[in-house]
Amino acid sequence: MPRDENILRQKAGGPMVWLMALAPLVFRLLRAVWPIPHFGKTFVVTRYDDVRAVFLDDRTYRVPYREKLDVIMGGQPFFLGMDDTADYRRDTGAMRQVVLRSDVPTLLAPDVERLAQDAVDKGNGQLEVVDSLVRHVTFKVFGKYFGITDPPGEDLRVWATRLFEFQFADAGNDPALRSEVDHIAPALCAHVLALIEARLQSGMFGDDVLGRCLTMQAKGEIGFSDDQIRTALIGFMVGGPPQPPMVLPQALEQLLRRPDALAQAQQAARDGDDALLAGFVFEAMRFDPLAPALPRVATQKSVIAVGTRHMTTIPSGANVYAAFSSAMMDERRIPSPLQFNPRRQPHEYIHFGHGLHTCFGIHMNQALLPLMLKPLLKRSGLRRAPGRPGHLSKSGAFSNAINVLYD
Amino acid sequence: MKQTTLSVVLEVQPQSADNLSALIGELRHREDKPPPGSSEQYGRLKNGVPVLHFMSLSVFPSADYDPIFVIEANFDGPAGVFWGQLEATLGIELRAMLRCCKKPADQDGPLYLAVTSPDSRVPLAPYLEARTLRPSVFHHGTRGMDRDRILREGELFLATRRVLTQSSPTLANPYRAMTAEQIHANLRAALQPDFPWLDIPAPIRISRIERAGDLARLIIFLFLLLACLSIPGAVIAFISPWQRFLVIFAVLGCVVAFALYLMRAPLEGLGAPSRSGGLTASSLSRRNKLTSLAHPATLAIAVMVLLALYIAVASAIGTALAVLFTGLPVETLWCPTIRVVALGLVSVFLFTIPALVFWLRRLERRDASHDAPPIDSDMMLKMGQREDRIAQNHMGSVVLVKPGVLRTLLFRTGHRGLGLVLRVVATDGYLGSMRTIHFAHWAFVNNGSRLMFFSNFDHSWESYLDDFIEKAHGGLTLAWGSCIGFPPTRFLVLDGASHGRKFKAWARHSMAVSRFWFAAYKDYTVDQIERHARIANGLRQIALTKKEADAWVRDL
Amino acid sequence: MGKGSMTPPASLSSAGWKLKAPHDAQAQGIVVSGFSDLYWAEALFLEADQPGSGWIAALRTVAPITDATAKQVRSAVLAFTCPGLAKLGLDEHDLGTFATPFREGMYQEDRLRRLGDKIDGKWEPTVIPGGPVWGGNNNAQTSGPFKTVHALLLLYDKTEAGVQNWADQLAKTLAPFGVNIVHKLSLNLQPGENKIAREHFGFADGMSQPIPYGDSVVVSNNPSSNNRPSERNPWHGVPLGEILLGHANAHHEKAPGPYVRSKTNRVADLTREGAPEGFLNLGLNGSYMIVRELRQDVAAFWNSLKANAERIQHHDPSATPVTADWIAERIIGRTRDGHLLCPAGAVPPAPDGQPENDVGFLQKDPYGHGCPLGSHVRRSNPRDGLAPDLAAAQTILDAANNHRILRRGRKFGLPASDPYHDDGQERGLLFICLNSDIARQFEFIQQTWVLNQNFATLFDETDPLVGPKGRFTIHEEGKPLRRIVEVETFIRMAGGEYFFLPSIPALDYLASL
Repeated sequence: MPRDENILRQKAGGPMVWLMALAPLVFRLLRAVWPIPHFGKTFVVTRYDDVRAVFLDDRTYRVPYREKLDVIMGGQPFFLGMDDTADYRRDTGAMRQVVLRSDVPTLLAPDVERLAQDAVDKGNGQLEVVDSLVRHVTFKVFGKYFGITDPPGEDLRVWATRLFEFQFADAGNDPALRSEVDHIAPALCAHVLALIEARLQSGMFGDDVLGRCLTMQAKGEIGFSDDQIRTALIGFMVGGPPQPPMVLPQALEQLLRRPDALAQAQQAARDGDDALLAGFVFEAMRFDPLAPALPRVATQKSVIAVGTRHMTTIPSGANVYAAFSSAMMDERRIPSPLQFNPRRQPHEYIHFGHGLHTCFGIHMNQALLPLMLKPLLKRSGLRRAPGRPGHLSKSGAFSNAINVLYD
Repeated sequence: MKQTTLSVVLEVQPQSADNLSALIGELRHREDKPPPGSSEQYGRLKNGVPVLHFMSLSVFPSADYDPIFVIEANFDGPAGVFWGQLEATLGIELRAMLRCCKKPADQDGPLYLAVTSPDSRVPLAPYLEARTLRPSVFHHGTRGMDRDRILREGELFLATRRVLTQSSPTLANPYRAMTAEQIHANLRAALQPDFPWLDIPAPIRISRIERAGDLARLIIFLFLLLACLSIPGAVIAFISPWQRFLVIFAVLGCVVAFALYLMRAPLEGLGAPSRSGGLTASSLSRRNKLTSLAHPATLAIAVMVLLALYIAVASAIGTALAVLFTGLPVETLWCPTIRVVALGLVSVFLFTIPALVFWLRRLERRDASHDAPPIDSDMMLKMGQREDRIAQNHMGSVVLVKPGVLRTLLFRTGHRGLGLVLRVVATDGYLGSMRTIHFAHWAFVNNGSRLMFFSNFDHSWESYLDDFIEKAHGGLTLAWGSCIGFPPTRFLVLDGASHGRKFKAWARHSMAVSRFWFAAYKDYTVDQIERHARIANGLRQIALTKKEADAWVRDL
Repeated sequence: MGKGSMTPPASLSSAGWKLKAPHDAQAQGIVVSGFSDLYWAEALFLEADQPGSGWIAALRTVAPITDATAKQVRSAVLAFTCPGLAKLGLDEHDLGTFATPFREGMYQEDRLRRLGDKIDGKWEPTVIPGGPVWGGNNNAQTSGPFKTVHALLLLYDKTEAGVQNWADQLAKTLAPFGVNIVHKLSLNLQPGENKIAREHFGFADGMSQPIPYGDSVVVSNNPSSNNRPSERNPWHGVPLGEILLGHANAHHEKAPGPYVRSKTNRVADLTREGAPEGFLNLGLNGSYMIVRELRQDVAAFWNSLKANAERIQHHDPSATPVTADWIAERIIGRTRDGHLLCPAGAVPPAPDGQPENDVGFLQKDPYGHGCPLGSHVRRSNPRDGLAPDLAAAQTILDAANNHRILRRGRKFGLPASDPYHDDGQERGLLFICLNSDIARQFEFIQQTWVLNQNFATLFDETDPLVGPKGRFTIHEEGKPLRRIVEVETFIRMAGGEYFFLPSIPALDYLASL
């Protein structure tokens, strides 16, 4: 597949990249001497216990996604932006009826493995992992699963990625990005509504998520109005598929840096030991997770780390960053955190958030992320391409490219 | 891997004690008989807390105190990791149990409230960490063996048995015709594919740094002790010429020694002379290895070296302090300092120690012992129901400590010293001639007014207590003798636990039901774990010499 | 009784002992003797269907209970279970002064687990199918018919006919009192090959006994000893209080026994000595007697060993001939004639020609090359064999001697004519032993040594003789690998109970209730 240069907005690397590389060391220092640093009304929580406490206390520390979500969804509420309310439980409950855990092994896993295999075969000994493998597979599989096709003449990958960036990785509120979003968001809404209309017209709902939603709607179930269906599907498409192309290449980069671990991960892939393979992938991600921290906003005055020496009072309205990357390296709770250990306990990972807003697709991710790399890892002689292309390049928060060779 | 033993002692709201016991009982029931389809017995804890060796939850009722809830844990590595794993595994159950406890009156109160408030989601681990009690004396029978290694080497042992067995009744067993070296080579070849870790050298059980630290702590303790004990003599040495000093202390020493001689024997009916197994001069034997401090020559040399070292160190520090305070030059100060230190040391043995022993012996002669402690038959029944189900057993006990200045000082110092000595001496699991303890510890609770004991041991309770009575009564009397009701002791280490039946009754009476108890390797005794380790260490070698192989093959 | 006239407790014992007056007239004869010259015996298990103790006096007119003074032409022993004592008229308070294991009985749930009889509600294979058929009480809920036993009367006589007539006479005497013989075993001690009394598998029995000393109460029965107090035998010496209640025991106190409130209206020779103020010493010179009826499956034993021998020959064609006998000797730990095994074969006999028993394992046989580590004799009394090194040997030997029992068992049933053929006859051993602390002595041996799966760092195996089907390890000198023998269940318990063996004064007291 030809590399599409336009999917990511190109950004300069430079000091940001260096800073990110220093983050683990900075966090380690902070955990020891200043576990909850704050700068004005911005607080960063670095220790494992405190990060979990922030995630778990969703009444005090709310997600700050609402404002931008409204831009994307045209004002229709999506559960990612909600508190633990009746609406939240209704909407997530409704969606759990159509996005089933049982789909993972029966529908999604075989597709992922097949498409990833095709991509690796097609690469014929060399492959760019970010786009040609991960993004390609992710969007193919999930587009089909949710029932959302590319908009006529447009690229769903670009749209979803832009909206994702706007929502989650645009702390500086870039006006250029906003102007793109102002065009994409309504267009995507219209596109999905058109898909719904077309299905209703045809009367053939089908067994993808869209089809199941329409079946529920026909049965008169609550939570399945056209707008609710549209919002959920856009939410899934924007929130989900842009992430694997960010994080999986990072994991591969970490594995490539550790030849022993890579060799064992490859062995696990060849042995078909998916659980162990997953252990390798998520452990690799622990060394370079999706983001250093997730943002929350304090709704009331509160205290973190009560009764300990680093007890900190958080004023109402403060921005609280739960540094889950730091939490996963906290030697106070994580055994030998600097050691690469594919057999860690589940609680040692906070890849998918924790508490109320734990990733909706956590089960899909846990099963599918390793499978996307599996066909590649099976290949012998897996190694970096020579020179810079063989190392992961980034564009802002996004993985840009990493090229590998194999036999 | 260094192991950790600790306990968390929490006061229980008296009205909630039954509720707490019921919660622990529910947990036990669920782990003991897990719902069909879920994991093995205690699998949740075994898999969720991979560092854990033994853990117990008990509630100790008392006539003198409100009940206490004790979490006793023995695990690998640092405590923080363990608490993290335990919270992830049993967080919900533990939080419910904590709600039955009292709010601590000290600085941990707010944390308690945060952790136990309705619907609280505040992590428990910091609270449990804050309330952690470190043992005063502890013993690890499998020093430096992490749990994974114990399980791994156990599996290896079972695999060796499978390989060495000829299942057909009529075919020859090839291993029977081999020499020990051949058996080793063939067995290693057969097992290596399933046990790839045989290619990696065995992890070091006790690192040199740990060993040096243990030794240094013991020596510092002994030096501090000697320094404290020589204070009375040293003060007099300042003002007294050395000839006069020696005469005065020799006379004092004789007086005290004579008084002690008069009261050396047990009082009528209170003696329990034991033929062997005690901490007496007779336990020194030239049959012991030269490297053991139980060999008289080794002990004599060690004592000489230590005393010489003490004089050197104490004089150096003393001179430095004297220079600091007087401003006089070192040359004028070092000589008198050595004199004071040396005379002080002489006074320790001539007078201070005998005088303290005399005081102690006076107390011992008047101590009351509890000949018939009341034993709750319902508790006895509950203990009986829980005992003797797997290779190991568990006991937890809480007793009151005898009051008084001397008792407190001796007991606290004795515990500190015993704890440090055990770290240095008991590196191969043996306490004297017994090796049946996996993890045991003592800890002071309620501001030192009570002493708590926990042990995870092999075989039955009866045999464990008999081991104490028959093989380790000296050390045990030292560790437990200053508790109220203990059978009559003499010179801190004699008699005491040798009053076997009385001691057993006293120990039983102090125990509480081990309401929840987890053992990570329920089939393996300490001896068996060491056997596995010997087999595994042999198999880790590419080849063995004939001598090594002959010794190694006996364990198969 | 004149000195030296007492029969040694076991004819093959090299060291005899006896009690000094007045204790010899107070203790029952079985304490000092197994009556080994009275070959024939009857064990009568009695149940009283109504309260009262009048039957004891009637019984004693026909069968006077033998004391420990003199050898008699025939002898009798009487002991009671806890329910039996209650039936005689001891009240709750008096019964509460007896040892807990005795009061709870052998069939208490947790005790059954410790003794290896019933675990998690299921009878183990070492118990006859359906559970035991007799006991002091049936709180173990056996499924088959069950006889409650209140007392055990043992009759010893020189002839088979004599003892049976005597038993019939007793049955007639007791019947009017409502006391019935609910279970009965004919015991014998007839010498077999080489004039040695053998148990049914063919091995000399009762070879190693503790030898009491102390309290100036025990004297050697050696005529030359001149009634001097016995010296402590370094290998087998135990304080008398280990066997007899009221004397100094291994825990440096008078072995605690039961006592009763002193009532002026009752005539009895019970002493106040050793009892708390206001009480009489009921226990002095009494003992606790453990009885277990063990059925032996002779054919299973020999056939299994024969099969094992064949298997071993196949597995190791170069092996020195391994026969069923060879394995059997290693299961027991002795030769058929009772000589202890050692790496060189068997320990040479003592100067008097009897098997030498003053032997330690640690120096002579540390690895069990002669007498296997898990053999029945080593499990029943490991001596110094569990010591980690020579420095600890004395401590370990002393410790082991704190757990000794005095065995007085006899076999029942006819000898098997063909040991390889199951003739369907019941035969076995009526295991009887005396001790003063049931938990520390009998139960300890059974639980911590005999049935301990981890004894002596053996793994997952128990006593090859009395334990259930499983492994048995034999080490041999010059053979690198241990042999693992698959043994079957050879011995099954058919009934058992803890009895109180009263002294003669205590018996007088009980008869007067």
